[in-house]
Amino acid sequence: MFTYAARRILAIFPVLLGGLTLLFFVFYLLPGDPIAVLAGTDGKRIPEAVRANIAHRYGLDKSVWRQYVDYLARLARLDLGDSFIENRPVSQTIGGNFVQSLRLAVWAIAIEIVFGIGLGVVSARRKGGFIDRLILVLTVIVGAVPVFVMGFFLFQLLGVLPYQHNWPRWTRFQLGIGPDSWALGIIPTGGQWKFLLLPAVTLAGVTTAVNIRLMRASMLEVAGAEFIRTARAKGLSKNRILFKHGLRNAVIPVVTAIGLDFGVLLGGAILTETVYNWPGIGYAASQALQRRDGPKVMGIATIVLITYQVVSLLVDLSYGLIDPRIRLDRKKL
Amino acid sequence: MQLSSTRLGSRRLFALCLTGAALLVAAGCSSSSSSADSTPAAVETSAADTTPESGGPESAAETTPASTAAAASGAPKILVDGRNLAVGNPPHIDPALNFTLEGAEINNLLYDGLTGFDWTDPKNPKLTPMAAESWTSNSDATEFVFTVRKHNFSNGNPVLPSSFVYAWNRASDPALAGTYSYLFFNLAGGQERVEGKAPSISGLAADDASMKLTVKLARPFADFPTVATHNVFFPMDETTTSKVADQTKYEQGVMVGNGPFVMAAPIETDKGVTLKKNSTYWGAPAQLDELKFVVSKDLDTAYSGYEAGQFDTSAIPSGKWKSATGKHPFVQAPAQTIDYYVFNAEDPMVGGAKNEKLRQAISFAIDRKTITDAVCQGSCIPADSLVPPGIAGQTSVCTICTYDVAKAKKLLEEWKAEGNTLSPIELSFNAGGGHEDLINLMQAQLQEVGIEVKQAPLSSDTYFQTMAKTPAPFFRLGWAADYPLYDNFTYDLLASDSANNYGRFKSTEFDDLIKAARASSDDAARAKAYQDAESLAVNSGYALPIYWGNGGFVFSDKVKNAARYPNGFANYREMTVG
Repeated sequence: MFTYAARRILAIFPVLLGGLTLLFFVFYLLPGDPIAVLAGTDGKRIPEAVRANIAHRYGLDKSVWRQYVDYLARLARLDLGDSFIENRPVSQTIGGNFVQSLRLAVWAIAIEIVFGIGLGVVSARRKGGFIDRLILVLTVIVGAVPVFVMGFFLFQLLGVLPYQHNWPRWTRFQLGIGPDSWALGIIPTGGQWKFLLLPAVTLAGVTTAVNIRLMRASMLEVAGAEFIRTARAKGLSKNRILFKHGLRNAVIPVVTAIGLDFGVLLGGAILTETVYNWPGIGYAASQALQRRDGPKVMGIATIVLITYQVVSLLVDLSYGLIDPRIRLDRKKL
Repeated sequence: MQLSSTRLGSRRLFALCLTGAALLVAAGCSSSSSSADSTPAAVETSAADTTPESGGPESAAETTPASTAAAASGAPKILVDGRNLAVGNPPHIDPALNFTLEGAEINNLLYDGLTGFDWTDPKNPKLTPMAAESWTSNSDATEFVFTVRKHNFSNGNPVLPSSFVYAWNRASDPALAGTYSYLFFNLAGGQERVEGKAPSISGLAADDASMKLTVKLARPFADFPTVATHNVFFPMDETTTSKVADQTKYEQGVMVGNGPFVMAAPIETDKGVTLKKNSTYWGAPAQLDELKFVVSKDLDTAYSGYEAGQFDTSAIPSGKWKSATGKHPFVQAPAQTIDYYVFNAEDPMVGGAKNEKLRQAISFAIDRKTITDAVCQGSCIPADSLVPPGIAGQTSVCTICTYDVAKAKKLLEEWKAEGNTLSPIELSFNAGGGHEDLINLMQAQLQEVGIEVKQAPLSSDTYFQTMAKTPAPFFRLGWAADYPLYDNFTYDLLASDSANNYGRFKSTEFDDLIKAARASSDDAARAKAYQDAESLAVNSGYALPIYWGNGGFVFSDKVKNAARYPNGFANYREMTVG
């Protein structure tokens, strides 16, 4: 397992280099005029001398190759450069966004694990019954609603409506990061949960619906497997069969899905972050892209790529713990 | 500035605009006595000309004790603004670097320029003395002398003529590379400074003993005092800025100004900035004790926050205009923006004098009223001039902006009879800017008189670049005032040497009229020259005004005295809560 982990960690570097190189050139070859965007002129034409000053200030007067070499040299020194717009080190500007995204993603994943796996198992156990059908209908509805619609709807219902009807204060949810108070860096304290809950639920919504379906299907498939019949023949209790044998085998594809979701939620929660004013990395990335803030776009991409690689490694490693039959080291295969 | 979006309420993509501080009536009045005495030779433009006659000292006497009493009695007056920073962090707030309307709104509360605007009557804004108590110009408008008012920065340091010279040399520094540094091209030696060929602007002289600032211009420009309302001309306290080694980072700390508010702490990314009342302000004090600008990520989000009671004011998302104005307290004022369509003067079918009748026929065939009613739900006004209302000299210049199908058909027939043949006209615009509905309507209206238009939408990333290189025969443009001046809507849009003349309209008569206007110190003559110039381009059908913006915002029940200035700012110098 350790050899496997080491090999995977080493593999991160070429993946990172390839991904970032691709992104660098895609970004710099985007159509449009980056100097006009940085100057904020949006179609208005300003004198050439001013354009030249702006190009020089941001190093855009150098050739793309030169900029690429400079970028790699900086990266090798673990320096992500300075944000064009915010004018300070990218590592400083995105650190806070990254932490907030991480908090949101962790809670969204927690919801996904509890409800995705839980309701999937319930649904499979009561296959064809009322509860199963109810859950199926709900997953279809939740899975079909676009994230921003869901976010907007939840806030209208739990934020705007209570305020406009003067319901008691505790019923009212609000936008933004709120008091920003956390215990152990991740547990909301002092009213923080009221700012966290809605975005976390919204973020978890669609993927949870998918995972319920996945879990249910996987459970039903495992239920027909020979080892379950064997376990039943041994006279084990229904719960023991379900949790010890069934769940452990059925959960593998769901763990994969949730693990990959985590990477996506971390960097791609743009809509949820926008609807709830959550100061995360997804929105920061989209705004940096709009404003042609090259160093910041590349910096965020670097962090998200690394995180994604690490998470998928952890997911792969977890298979071995969940199912002892899975061996990760090549020689044992 | 060029406008690419019609969402006037949203300020998305409003790259910058005019600044221009509004002024309390009382503040203007307090200056009039001192400036009326000083009457040097040449042309005098003093506070006495521009300040409303009545209401000043009295209103100051009434409001000042009231607000201090309220502050003293405990409850500080705090207003939370979710409107100004609704679409994200402002790229800059330093007056020398800022290019957005939202940044300008903030630094206009922190600083006073030499001059500002009194927007009390939005249809007739008045240029007013601010940090300068008066000014004079020579007869051909190439040299201005400003007398700086005796007042201080909020840290107690005096604002001197040399504070302006320092600030202007700083703002024109090529290393700072401010977008609006090109406004210093108006000054003698300003272009050399911006191009890095001179260490400072040669046309500036400060005499701190007599409080005189002498500004030599590169060419005549009688309206320079209006240009000087722009935030790039704000004064700076050298002892404060010089503590920051890299001037591009000055805006990351607490900026010290001479305006009615001070920064309580540096601006915070994703959060915003809190301003506090400046208790040593020279003019009428702010009514609010604290003004919080909160960052949202999107206009719809900010509006939700307002509806949930988190913010006291919000702008209105484009689709919600009707429902919002129906149920919430609301103020509206014409915005200083124009959406217009131009013909390529060099195109064989629509350009040139021989095709004038075709262009006029197109203008008569467009029903601006129906279009704006259908498209903007009240957030825009049909235009009959390129120049929006509320700008000195503005009038209904366009004689072909009325809707007259008969005239359109007649002109089209005459044009055809002259031996011209009509083929479909290509109409370009920036896709995704919200112009599609309007263009569909326009296309249908032109169809009715027998003019076929072929839509050619282009990606907004490259639209303006493409139009600059190879203009389409017929295409859409928009403009928002950099400063509220006729010149900004005529010279910038249509002069043969202006980079923003995308349609390549070329007329020596036009250029001469603009030159004459700039050199004329007589308000009426200047306005006439600008109107005549605009008429040349508009009535020959080269530039068709379609609509002006009409912006508004909603606010909560506790907000008092709310108003919106035509430049898009809220009147935070006068607004209060209670």
